[in-house]
Amino acid sequence: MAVCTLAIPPDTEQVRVARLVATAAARRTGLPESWIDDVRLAVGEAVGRAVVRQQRAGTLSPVHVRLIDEDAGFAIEVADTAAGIGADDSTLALDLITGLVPSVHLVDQAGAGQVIRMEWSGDEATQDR
Amino acid sequence: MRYPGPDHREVGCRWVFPSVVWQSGAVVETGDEMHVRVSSEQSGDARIVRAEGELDLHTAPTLQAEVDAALEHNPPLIVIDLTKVDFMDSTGLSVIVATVAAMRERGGEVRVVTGADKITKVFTLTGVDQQVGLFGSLEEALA
Repeated sequence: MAVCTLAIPPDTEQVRVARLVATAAARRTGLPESWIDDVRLAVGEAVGRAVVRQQRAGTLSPVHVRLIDEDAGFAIEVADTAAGIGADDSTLALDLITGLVPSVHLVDQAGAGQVIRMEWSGDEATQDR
Repeated sequence: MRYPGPDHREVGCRWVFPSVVWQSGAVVETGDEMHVRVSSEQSGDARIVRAEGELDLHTAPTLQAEVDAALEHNPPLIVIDLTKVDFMDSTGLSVIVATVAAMRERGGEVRVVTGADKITKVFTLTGVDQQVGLFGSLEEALA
């Protein structure tokens, strides 16, 4: 298993950086090309949501993105440290993520932020590896 | 520089190598790389708002500003042309949803030209395609 970690400042302009790196990492792991646009959009949504959460919480701490090349496929974890903020203003981001990604887990870290884990796995994800 | 006329607006957002200056109502030479560019023009009763590039959390406010300017013309129809949009996330979609709501309040309509399948997919996955008419070309949207 290989893991690349990004620390993205909570700045809307930096979300694009996460998209670019995640897309390159997904290609490198051999994920089918038909899924690359989904990875690009899903990671953009997850990181954008985390950046907004950090901003709402008033923290300058970075959003952490882990790009994980696993035997079973590819996974991305996006973690924020936003605490004490209410529910998202819009559910569109989560609606998109769940529509794009085969397996999504959202973990609330008991007042210490949230982690979204997105997994692309299974036979189709690993057939070209 | 060409001047496209008083009904034409064009606004740029975020050039990596900002070698250009944008002026209200005018189109100036473009830079090396952009994230988004928006413009608008009148076509009959319809106001056409075009976007080009990437619509995301950072650039969606640029589209919002252009849509707000279009609303000031009180058109019965706004056509949002996304044919040249390479990427759009939920924040770009939110601008369109808000435009649909604003136009409904005025008794107007919004139509969207989606172009690429990956842009259409953003509408279908969220169910927004049930709220707004999606078209394959600008000609179809204006018909």
